[in-house]
Amino acid sequence: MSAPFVIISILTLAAALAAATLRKLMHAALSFAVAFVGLAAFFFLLGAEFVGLVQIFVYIGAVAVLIVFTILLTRRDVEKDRGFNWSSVVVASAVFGGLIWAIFKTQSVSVAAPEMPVLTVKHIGEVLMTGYVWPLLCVGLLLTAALIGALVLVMEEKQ
Amino acid sequence: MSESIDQIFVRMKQWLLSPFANAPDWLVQVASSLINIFALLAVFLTLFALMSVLERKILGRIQNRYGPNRVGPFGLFQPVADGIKMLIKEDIVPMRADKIVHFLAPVLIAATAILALGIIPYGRGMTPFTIDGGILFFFAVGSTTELAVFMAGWGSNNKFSMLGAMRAIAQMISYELPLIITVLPVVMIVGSLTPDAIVAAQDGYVFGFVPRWFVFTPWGAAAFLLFFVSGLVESNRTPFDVPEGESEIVAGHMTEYSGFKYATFFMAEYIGMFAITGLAITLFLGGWHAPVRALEFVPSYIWFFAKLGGLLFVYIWLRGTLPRTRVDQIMNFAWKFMLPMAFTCMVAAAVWHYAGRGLRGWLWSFVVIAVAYTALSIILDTRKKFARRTYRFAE
Amino acid sequence: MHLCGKPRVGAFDTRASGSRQAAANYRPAACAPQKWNGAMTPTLQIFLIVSAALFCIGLLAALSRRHAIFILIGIEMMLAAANLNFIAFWRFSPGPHQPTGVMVAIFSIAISAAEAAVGLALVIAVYRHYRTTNVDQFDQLKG
Repeated sequence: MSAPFVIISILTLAAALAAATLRKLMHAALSFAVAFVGLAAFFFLLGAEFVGLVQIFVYIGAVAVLIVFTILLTRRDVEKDRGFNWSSVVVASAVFGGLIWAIFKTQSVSVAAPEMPVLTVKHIGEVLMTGYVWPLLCVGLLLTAALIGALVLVMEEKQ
Repeated sequence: MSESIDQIFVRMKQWLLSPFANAPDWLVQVASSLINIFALLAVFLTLFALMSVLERKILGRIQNRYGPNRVGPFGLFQPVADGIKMLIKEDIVPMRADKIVHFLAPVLIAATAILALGIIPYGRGMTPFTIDGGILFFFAVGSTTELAVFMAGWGSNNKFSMLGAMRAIAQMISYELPLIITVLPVVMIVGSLTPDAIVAAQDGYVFGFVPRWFVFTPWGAAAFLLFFVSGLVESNRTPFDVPEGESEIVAGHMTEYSGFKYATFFMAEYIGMFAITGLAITLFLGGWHAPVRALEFVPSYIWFFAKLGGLLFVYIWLRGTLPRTRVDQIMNFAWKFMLPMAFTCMVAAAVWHYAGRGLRGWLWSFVVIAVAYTALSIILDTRKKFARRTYRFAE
Repeated sequence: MHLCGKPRVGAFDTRASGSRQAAANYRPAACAPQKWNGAMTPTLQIFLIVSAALFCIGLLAALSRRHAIFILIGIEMMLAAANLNFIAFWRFSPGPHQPTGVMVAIFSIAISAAEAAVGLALVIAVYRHYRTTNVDQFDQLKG
């Protein structure tokens, strides 16, 4: 457990817990952004820098800003949420226990990392344009549909 | 001899790292990064101080007056006086402001601006941090600025700040699209996202005397203009400084900040300007390459900072000359004109590449851009709106 | 993240002109293949445990919050935990030169961004009608 890994995991999990349990909405939204920075740091640690950068760009530059704007647009001077309740803690702990049991039961996942040539952006680009070109076009279509759909949902109806 | 002057900073850094020759790998990495960071901060903080006084002097000259000229020779020590003033001011935080968010906002804005400086090649072999997806890193860090602006606006618990922050974010998000799409033709033609490779691809001369900089191709010229304007907007400079327009919204998201925190905002804006201009030079103006073969003996970092100085002078010139645009004009301009023109640049770059990169490619891509520009002007039909002005009260 | 070695003099050939060749000749200087150093290497189990913890925290947020936006935040966290899982499995697999896990993660990020946008638009539209974002009050279709 190298030191960077421990620090990043503590940061990410603490920020995620804060996002899930803080009562003031803005603080929770901002710690959500910090949790995603930690997750991007995990991606850098694992050697997938492109995904880490895309994560910072998309989640913190776009999704977090959207969430914060929506909080602003939908508040009515009552800014606090009830926090968390214990039954959901029980359910979440049960799911966590189940996942941990499944992880420890499989022996084949305690492997060390193999050596890997550096994954360059050029390689990702080539694979994206040759092997994954259909998913790329579908995601483009999906994003256009989401854009139009979100705009239509939010447009004021003409009286 | 010219090569040793060119590489003088690289040699200095290797000399500084020589005590670490037998240290473990991670320690050398950390020491090298620290030296890079200190050098970067020293250079750019000095440049920020110099630019703040030069801007006031140049603006003064444009307005037919002297700028600051009391403190030191030609007023060049003015930043020292400004710094002392900012430091000794009382730090006022509104009582009902959110203290943590209010404190972290200027820190985050300055941090993201300085982070963006780290991937720009300042000279031959003088890139502080070589990241494979360097351009993507720049934009990822730049997009974090929006969240920090929002934190500044919301943390002040002030309606002016909130409104200013929303306007600032709307402006920044709208212009992020043309900013990124105008970078795409360059990345397409070079085939790499690494700034070093982009600079290396602009090496050499066409016809023996025209440098291969991308600004000398039709799509590159159009893309450079669009990128430059988007850079103006991203750094909230006049004519797009609606977020900080003093006559409209006090100081926008920076209203409730005083003293050193305001100085941090100020510094972050200028360093953001340096970062965007540095990226424009890397992508379009050939980075640290010399424009003529005869002048190649001049060191590479001198060329980079000369180009940086030239572009910053244009920024200051625009500030002194143009009035502020309205918010709806800014939005219309981004979505109706700049976005289609950015897509046209991409098509024109592809046409340039596939028609051979010589004269034929140049002509065809010029035709594509000219047709698109004319079509956009006719469709947007800006001529009809300039009717005869009628004055209600001033007849 | 591999920062490729100490910067050397002449890390790329500046004499080669012509855009494509010069860019193709550029090699990241002294980039060794990435390997963990030291005896304390994180195994795949540790990454899976972290991603399971993140997933369960997201589940906690989605189950216990009453504000619609926070349920969305919980869902985004669960998606991000799944992304971490994909990348971890890709890295520890016997064939990491095929960027399959990376591809899935990239598409997953794009899709979750689209879903967040539409979800937030829905929240705004519902707020306009009900004037509240407390999900306990969205009960007009209750039988």
